[in-house]
This record gives sequence, structure tokens and C-alpha cells, in this order.
Amino acid sequence: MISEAELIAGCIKGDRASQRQLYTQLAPKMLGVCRRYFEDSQEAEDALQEGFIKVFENLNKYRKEGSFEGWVRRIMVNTSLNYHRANLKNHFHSDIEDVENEIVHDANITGSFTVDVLLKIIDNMPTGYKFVFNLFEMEGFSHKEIAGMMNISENTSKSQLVKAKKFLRKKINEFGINEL
Amino acid sequence: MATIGDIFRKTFEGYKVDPSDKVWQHIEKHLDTPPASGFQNLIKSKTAIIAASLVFVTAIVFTLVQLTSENQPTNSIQGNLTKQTKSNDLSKTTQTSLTPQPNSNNNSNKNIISTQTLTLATNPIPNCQPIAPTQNLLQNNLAINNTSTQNTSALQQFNPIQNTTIPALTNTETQYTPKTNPVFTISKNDTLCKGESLVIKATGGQSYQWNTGEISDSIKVNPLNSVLYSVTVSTSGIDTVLNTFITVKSCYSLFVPTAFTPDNDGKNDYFHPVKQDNIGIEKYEMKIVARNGKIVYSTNSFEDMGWDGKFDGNAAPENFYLWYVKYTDSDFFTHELRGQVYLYRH
Repeated sequence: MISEAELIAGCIKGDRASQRQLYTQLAPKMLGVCRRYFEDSQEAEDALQEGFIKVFENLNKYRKEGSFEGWVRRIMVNTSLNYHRANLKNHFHSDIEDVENEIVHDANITGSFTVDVLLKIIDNMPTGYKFVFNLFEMEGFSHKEIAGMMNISENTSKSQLVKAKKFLRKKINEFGINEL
Repeated sequence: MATIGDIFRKTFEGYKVDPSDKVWQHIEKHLDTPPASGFQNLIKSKTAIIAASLVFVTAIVFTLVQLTSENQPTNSIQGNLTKQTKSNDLSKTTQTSLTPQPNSNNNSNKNIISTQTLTLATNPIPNCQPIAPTQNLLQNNLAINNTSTQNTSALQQFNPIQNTTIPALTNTETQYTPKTNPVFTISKNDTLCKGESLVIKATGGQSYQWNTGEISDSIKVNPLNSVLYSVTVSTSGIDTVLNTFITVKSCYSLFVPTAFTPDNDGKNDYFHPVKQDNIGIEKYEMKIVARNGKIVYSTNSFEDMGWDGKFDGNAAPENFYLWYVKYTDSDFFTHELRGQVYLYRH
């Protein structure tokens, strides 16, 4: 079994077998990441492809701070974001209200859900909600980072997250009832 | 008890989707041509352009200023003159290499001139004033002045370059001229349903400027009306404008039944299209034609009950009838539909 470091070194040298192996190891998981940002699985594949090209071209810049998978994942997320950048700015302008006043009861959902159901819910989320929710809850970015990545204010990021959770909560309840 | 985030994280943990084979094929194809594409990618990033051109120009300015400041301590005018010609030469080279940048060009000119006037002013001083301390003092002053110009010139250089990122590219770009003539492509003309989005991609350039204001190689669009997207693709100083036309149509449609039974049982007694979604209908017309070519029913109102299966007050025979519907929806898209319906009597 070849180690990750050896695999990366092989890829940097341009060894096709190493590149192929790295791709095979990570691609399905990364497509799972990209898929959350695109309703269309074809578009998700486009982002995956572009993301991997960036990974291979910038491998020598990977500084081994943090996990390699995390580094690749971040590239995938940024690539996915880039695809949407043209449209994103239209999704936030109406969110100036104060977030602090909103109280969200967040912590009492029970039951389990299939990926398909949750994916369907994500697909139907308004784009602004979808991105902030994905970036904050799934990718673990801070509001400050999200604000920078999406060119919005931190408050907008916070308010979008609150709204996203409200939206999801409603949808999850609907699905919960339907499933019973 | 779990938060929404917990549920999503838990469910998506280890979530995998197998990509289709063509993804790797495309990546491999790309990897087969690494140098050109690698550079293109580098060039694509705005910061890289700024950084590269900034380093390039500041390096020149710095050497220039250094050269001219070296002039000052020398006592012989001859020495000064030769050095000045040198710096003049240099200034010429900067000018030529910077020609595509009108702003920074002016600026670097200004800088060169100002440093030169400074050096020229120093020239007579060592010769005309033999008193050593004063001379030193003056030289010190001048040295200070000079360093301050150096600083400001660095600052002045910074701003115009930031504003003119794309022209600045040509300095570095020429070294990497692609071997073959560049081929530019853009996504084909396409038709979309209103509300759908589409990614339009251009290739072959080192920088892109879309009429939407984007500068990436692909843009995602969600047009409400048919619209022309154009992109200026640039590489090696060549600009090409590419267009793609996206037709937007409404995909709302009416559902038209394929059979009806006008027997007054309250079910399917009338032939009438049915609305899907919350579509609004602004204009409407429907015609039903019998096989012999006679119009058996026509209306201009969607609110009508529809055809009751009668023609001239008599029951029309069981048969296929052709129908034609034309309507304009509330988004002002006009739709034309045709088909046949079976009138069933039992």
C-alpha cells in the first residue's frame, strides 16, 4: 500500500498511475461534495473535473497543514462556488434585517433520513440559503470566511443560515409526516 | 435530539457519487498538455497578474532609481553623463515594454523624468561648491529626497497597475506565446425553459470578459428572456468576441386530454385543456376540426366549458377529432399545441 505522501509526490512528478490512483480514491467523495452545490449532476461533474485539474496543477502548493482530503475538498467547494458566482450576487440583497432578534429552536429533530430525501430538499433550497448552509454546516467555514468567499456581509451570512434552517426544518417536517 | 446541521452532516457522511468515465478522460487529456494549460490557469487568476506585473514594473523602477542615485556621489560630470545615457536607455526599454499600459506608462515616465532632474541638479553642486561639509549635507538631503521619490514612485506604480490588470498582462505574456494559433470556443446557442439555469463556457483564452461583467471562463446564467451573451476572449494580446444566443421559452404547458365521454354523467363530459401549475392565460383560442375538415367547435375564452361533443345541436359521432390550441401565458410566451382527441360514446 502506497502512502499518501508517496502518492502526492508521484503526482507532482507527473506519474499518470499515481494521478489516476489519487483521482480514483477521492473522486466519488468529492463528487458527493460538489453534488450538494448543483441540482444538475452533469454540472457537478463539470465542477469535479475542473477541481481535479486545479488539484493536479497546484499539488506542489499543498503545504501539508491539515489533511490532504480537506485541501482537495476546499478546492472543490471553491470551484463549485465559482460556477455560481455570476448568479450569487442576486440572491442576497433583501437581507438587511437584524439576525440577533431571531430565535431558532434548532435542537430537537429526531429520526433519520436518507441521502436522497435530504438531497432533494437541498436541491429545492433557494441558492443563497443552500450555499451558506452548505458552507457553514457541512464544510465548517465560519461566517467570516463565508462572507469573504461569497462577497457578502457576515450578517447576511448569519441571516441566510437562520432562514436556511427554518426552511429545512419545515421541509424535514413535511417529509417526516409524509413518510409516516 | 439533533440539530439540522447534525442530521445533514450525519446523513452525508461518506456520501459518494461515482463520476462518469468521461471526467477522468477529460482530466487526462488536460494533463497531457501541462505547460500551456498550467500557465493559462496561472494567468487566469487576477492576483497572479497583479503580482507578476507589479514585481516586473517595480523591479525596473527600482533598478532605475538605484542607477540614478548611484550617480550622485560621483564627482566627474562625464561619469554622470554616461550613466544618464544608460538610464535613458533603460527608460526607453521600459517605455517600449509598457506600451500597452497608457496609465502606468505615463507614470513611469514621470518618475524617470523627476529622478533625472534631481540628478542633473546635483551635477553642478560638487564642482561649483568645493566646501566639503555643505556638499555632504546637500548630498544627504538629496539622498533623502531621492529615497522619498523612490517610495512614492513605488506607490504610484501600484495603483495604475491595479486598474489596468489586463493590458499589464502583455508584458509577461509574450514570453509564453502559444505555439499554435489560439482556438476560441463558446457554448452553442441553446434553448432554456424559463427558470432554468445554464452554464456557458468559453475556452482558448487567457482572460475572459463577459457582457455580464464576469471574468471567469464559464458563467452560470438564469435568463428570464431570450438574450445574447458575449465574451471577449483574450490571449497574447488578441481579443476575440464570441456570442451565444440563449432562447428562453416558457415550459409551462396545458394538459390536453386525449379522450372524452359526452354522456352527461358528470365525468369528462366536456373536452377542455387543463391548467398545470399556476399558469395565467392571457390570450386563448381553440378549434376542433372533424375528419371531414368542418370546424365543430371554436372558442376564444379559456373560461368556456369546452366542447360538449355536439355539432349544430346534434351529437357528433364517435371518432377522432383534431384540435388546435394557441395561447399566451402570463409571462407573455405564446404556445401552439395540436393533437387529436377521441370522442367516445357507449
